Amino acid sequence: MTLLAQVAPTAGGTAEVVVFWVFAVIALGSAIAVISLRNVVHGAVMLVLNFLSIGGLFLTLESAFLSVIQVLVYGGAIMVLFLFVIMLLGVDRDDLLQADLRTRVLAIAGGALLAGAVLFAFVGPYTSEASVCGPDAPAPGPGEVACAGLAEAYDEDDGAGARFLGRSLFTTYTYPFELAALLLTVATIGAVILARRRDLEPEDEDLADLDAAAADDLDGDDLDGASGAAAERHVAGDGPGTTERGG
Amino acid sequence: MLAEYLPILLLFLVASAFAVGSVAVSSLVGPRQPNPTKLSAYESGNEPLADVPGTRFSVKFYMVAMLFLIFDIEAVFLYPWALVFRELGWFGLGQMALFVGILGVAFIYEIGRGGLEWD
Repeated sequence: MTLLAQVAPTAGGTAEVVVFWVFAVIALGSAIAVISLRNVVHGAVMLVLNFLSIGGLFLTLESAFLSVIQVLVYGGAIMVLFLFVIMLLGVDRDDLLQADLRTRVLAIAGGALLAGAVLFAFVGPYTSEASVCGPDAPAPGPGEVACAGLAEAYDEDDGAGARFLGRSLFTTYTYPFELAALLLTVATIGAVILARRRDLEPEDEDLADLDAAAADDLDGDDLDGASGAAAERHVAGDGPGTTERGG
Repeated sequence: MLAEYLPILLLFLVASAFAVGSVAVSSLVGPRQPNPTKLSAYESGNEPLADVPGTRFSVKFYMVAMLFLIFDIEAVFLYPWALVFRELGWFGLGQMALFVGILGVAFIYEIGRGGLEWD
């Protein structure tokens, strides 16, 4: 395990290696179970196990903050989204799992390509001797990466890496940080547009301005239940094109 | 150090042992006198609704989950930001204001489009 030795040189004790192996085996096994189980809900539970064990791997690297975030965001929020998508599509829909030969070949090729690209771009530079942290590390040659960042990370005294993470996130990586917000916004707006084809009430639409007086009357009268029907009548009365907004 | 987490590991071990042990002991020594009511999914409650194959949930749950994700991630980013807030000064404040502002657009849009209305 060269990579573990490279990442945690000061804490490369026996306990760390044992914990790393336990979590690594659980992570790999659950990942294989995710793609091989026929029942998608069981697959989702295995995905939770995978996220938890990756959180454990972060803990092995003494990054308690990332570990907690992994459990909170991936094991919590992302998994809720996954489960809702499974429920939206229907749990017992076996026909969704059918794939013809062409799809399978394309999927395997795409997955291999992605895995190869990730290995080449992110893991490759760290497999050389120069990336091993320590006083006797040789100078990095072309295409190799020196041990960097970890010394600073270990110098941080909050013990969880959160301060270090915040400092680099809000100075060096400002642009990706704001892009993440934009990405989330786009995802949310897309989900709203896809999910809500028909508007509930026209009060915040421009067709409400056409007869605002009538809308005011209706809103004042029916506070519960009937306002939806009133909105229906409004939409129907305004002709085509208004019923299917954002579809 | 990793040794600080030893109590948490012990807690996990004890919890797992308790869960496995309870099931094992009750299956070993518990009496078995099944009847249809006992074997139903909720012994004294409603029958599960989703027993028809292909039952699908409403997309409205997804809207709620999406909002949950937005605020979850926002809170996650607020924590390291708060730790280095004094060092960053006004730059950090503006940065976080922009971040919350962009996410606020998504939030206001979803509320405005009735993403949380349950018609």
